[in-house]
Amino acid sequence: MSPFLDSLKKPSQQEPAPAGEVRPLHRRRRRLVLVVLAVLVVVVGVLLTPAARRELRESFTQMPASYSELYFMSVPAVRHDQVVTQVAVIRHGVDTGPYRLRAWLESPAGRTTASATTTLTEQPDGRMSVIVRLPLRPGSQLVRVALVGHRESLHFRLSPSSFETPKSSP
Amino acid sequence: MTAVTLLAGRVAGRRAVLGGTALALLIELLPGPPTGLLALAGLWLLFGAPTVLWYGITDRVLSTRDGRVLLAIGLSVITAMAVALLVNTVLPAVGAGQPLARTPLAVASALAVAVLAVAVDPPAESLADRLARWREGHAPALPPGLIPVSVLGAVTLLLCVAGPIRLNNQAGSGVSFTAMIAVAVLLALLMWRRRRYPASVIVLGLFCAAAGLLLLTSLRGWYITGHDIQQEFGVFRLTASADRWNIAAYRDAYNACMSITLLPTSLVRLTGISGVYVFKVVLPLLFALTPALVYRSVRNVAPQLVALLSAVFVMMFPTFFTDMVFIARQEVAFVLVGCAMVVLTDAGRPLAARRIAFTVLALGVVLSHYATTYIIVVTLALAFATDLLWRLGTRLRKRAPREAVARGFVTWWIVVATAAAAALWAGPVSHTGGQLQATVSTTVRDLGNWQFGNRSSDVSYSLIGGARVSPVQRLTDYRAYAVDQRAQAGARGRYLPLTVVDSYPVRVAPDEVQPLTPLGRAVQHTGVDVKAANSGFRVLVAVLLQLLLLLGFVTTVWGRRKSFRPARDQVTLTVGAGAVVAMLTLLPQVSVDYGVLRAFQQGLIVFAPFVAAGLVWLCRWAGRRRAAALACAVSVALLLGLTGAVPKLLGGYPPTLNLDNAGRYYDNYLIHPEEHQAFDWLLLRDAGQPVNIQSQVRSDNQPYARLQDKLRHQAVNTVYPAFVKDNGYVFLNYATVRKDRTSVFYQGDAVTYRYPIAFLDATKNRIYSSDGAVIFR
Repeated sequence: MSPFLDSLKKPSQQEPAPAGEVRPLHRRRRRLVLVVLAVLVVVVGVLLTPAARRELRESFTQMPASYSELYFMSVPAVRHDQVVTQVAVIRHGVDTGPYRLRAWLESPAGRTTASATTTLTEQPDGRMSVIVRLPLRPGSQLVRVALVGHRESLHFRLSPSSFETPKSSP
Repeated sequence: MTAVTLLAGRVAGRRAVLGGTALALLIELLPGPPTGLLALAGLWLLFGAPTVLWYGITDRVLSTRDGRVLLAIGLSVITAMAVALLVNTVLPAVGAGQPLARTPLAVASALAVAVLAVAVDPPAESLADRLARWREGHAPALPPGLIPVSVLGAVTLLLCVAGPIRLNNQAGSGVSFTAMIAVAVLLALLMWRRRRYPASVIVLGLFCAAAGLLLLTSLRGWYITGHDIQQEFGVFRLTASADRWNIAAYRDAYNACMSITLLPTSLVRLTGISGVYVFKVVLPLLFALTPALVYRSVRNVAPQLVALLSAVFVMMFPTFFTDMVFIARQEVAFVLVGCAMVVLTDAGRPLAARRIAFTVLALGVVLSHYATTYIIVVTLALAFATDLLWRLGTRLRKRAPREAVARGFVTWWIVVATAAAAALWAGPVSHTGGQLQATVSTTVRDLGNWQFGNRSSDVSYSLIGGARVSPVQRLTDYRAYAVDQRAQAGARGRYLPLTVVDSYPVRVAPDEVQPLTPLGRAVQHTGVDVKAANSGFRVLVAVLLQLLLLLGFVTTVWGRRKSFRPARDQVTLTVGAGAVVAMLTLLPQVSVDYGVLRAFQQGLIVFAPFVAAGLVWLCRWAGRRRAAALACAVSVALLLGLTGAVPKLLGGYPPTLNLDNAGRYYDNYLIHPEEHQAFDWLLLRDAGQPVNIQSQVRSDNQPYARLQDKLRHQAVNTVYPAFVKDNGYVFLNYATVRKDRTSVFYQGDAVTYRYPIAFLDATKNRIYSSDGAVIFR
């Protein structure tokens, strides 16, 4: 055979490679299939367990954060000797039961001049809103709102402009 | 052979690559392709096909297969930026307003692949032949160690993804801690089997370990998390939203970095991966190649042990896994610097071809990041000068003629070409050299006035850095700065009166410290002060690294028992890089604008082998056989200590972002859903009206970005009491609401102080409140 033809031999026709460098394919394939099957069995077994599914969700997806938003829906205003305050609460994440909201008026010295507490009813979209009316007594200067048992709280100073028509946002 | 025959032969030899590219292009052009398919098609067009083709070309430059693969990836990154830049320049000239939309980018990328395919000789054995050989049942045996390293690497990466996500879901740090241990085990395996495993397997293992360390930090938070990355993401959005890069839209050095404008835009458009995950996952994965590149560059001239240790030193340095994932432009630039070092140290190919490849990579750095470029230009210039002196000394010593002394790799024209490209890009092309000019003029002014105090506290880690400025002093300086700014603004500033501000004093907050764990308490009972030991450890390691560098340099260059024989250019570049770090440490202002730790991280790409050689030399006392094992054990122990695993085990250390839901980075940079929601609420207030907002939060999130667009000139990024205005909104972030803590960033340092919320309660209305955000007006 000429050297030219020799160089045209397909790799499969060439001399076998030294032992250790070439391995029959079917053995490797069989081992690979066994490993893949074993991994599949383990994965399916794990996925069938609720606790494992929860752990996997926490490990590879974003879980909703639990917190509440409290805010003024409009500027507190004085109407007919009453301080009208419209607030909203939005719940995110886990339902921890109904919210109780306390609103009160304070004098500059920190004395409470009027207060009211109400339980909020949740709408299907998780939003709750309430209008609180507190009697305006002499010396009242500060409107305070707080979610009972939570850290969220608001305050607003009444000023001459509070006696005008309420604006859309604080 | 005619040109047509030649072309036909080359096309036929590249059937698989061109066929895959045609298919990818088809998927890109289809309306609404499936997400997974689009990602595969885009990755093939941007990286897959160009890497396969560049691999063929790099044979002329590099002699090792793994080096060629790494270099081909680096050249693919440059290709992606160059193609997008070309499309962005040419198409608007012919009337196309959105050159970076998916269709033009896909077509241009496919054309680039076709041009490369035609330009490169096909491989001797085609892919089809290899597949046929495989089908016939005869394939080369797998390299030793491939399976264990792949399996351990995959498990490590899985843990490194799950760990931060669990922390984001407030599910504890156990998995992150386990992931860190897995990284250490993977590196220990590579060290243990270093004689048996080939370089390709070591490279794979190093990539997995580095990627794991980076993902542990980069995946923290559901939004863009970090310092520089917020602004980087901002300039990316500017380009992506317009489907066009336009420097005039925001003339800033950030916007002139193609690595954070054109590259991520191409990735987002062609793969469909969201921009947030391009910055949080794709770019860090690219950067994870850097330790592997350092390994390869060192392996070209040094034994396996020194090469491995060099890579481990690069990834154990805290800047690597804390700050680098927040500096995407520098991540890309460092990959190209690593490629350049591989080219420089591979003496198995002609010098001329390697010099050209080195220059191309340096030009890629110019496109990627301005500051890395400036550091490289100075380093190259100093290396070239050192080489000249070296040659002169050799000639005088040996009394040899000029021609008898060999020249180094770095030539004058490499330095000039890189410097000219940097000047051209920052000057006439983008007009964004202002930051450099400001830094240089401030430095010169301070030097003229003999003022050296204007330096970041990071310089205190240096052997020549001097004393650290205390947080109390920094806060006092900041107050003086605020008072000065108020005076300059006058009545226009509309700041709240200083008399009111001063009645609520601002005090430095002590560092948060993790409580001691049971193990930490047990250690404490033995008489060891765990907290002091933890804080002293970092300072000790900083000193140790510098001493090892000096020791390794001296023993390798002048010693009789060398750990390795460095290329002359490694020595001259180490002199250059060391001098740059020293300059950044000693000169005023530059450490504020660049950061000496970043410079040291960049320097490690060059001088890590000397640090490794220093450690090996130091361990020689244990005997020839045990020295290697001891050096490996010390490096893994340092890695576990610096990454936070050991402090986590003991407690008594400021919490770190990769292992805890607390600490300075967590408080300052991680955006919480509560803050995101509060921004959304704020956006709806006073719709259409210009309002002022002051906030410490820097966020990528959609509402805040829209707010910034709307209120560009009103947004102020501080809530420091002396800067609070009487007529705007003040947004308090998660850490301030929950812990009364916030930070100011001044002179390169972050100072955390107790925020006097009572000051805002007394002067403003609290109109929005959640457990993670409060808004005053």
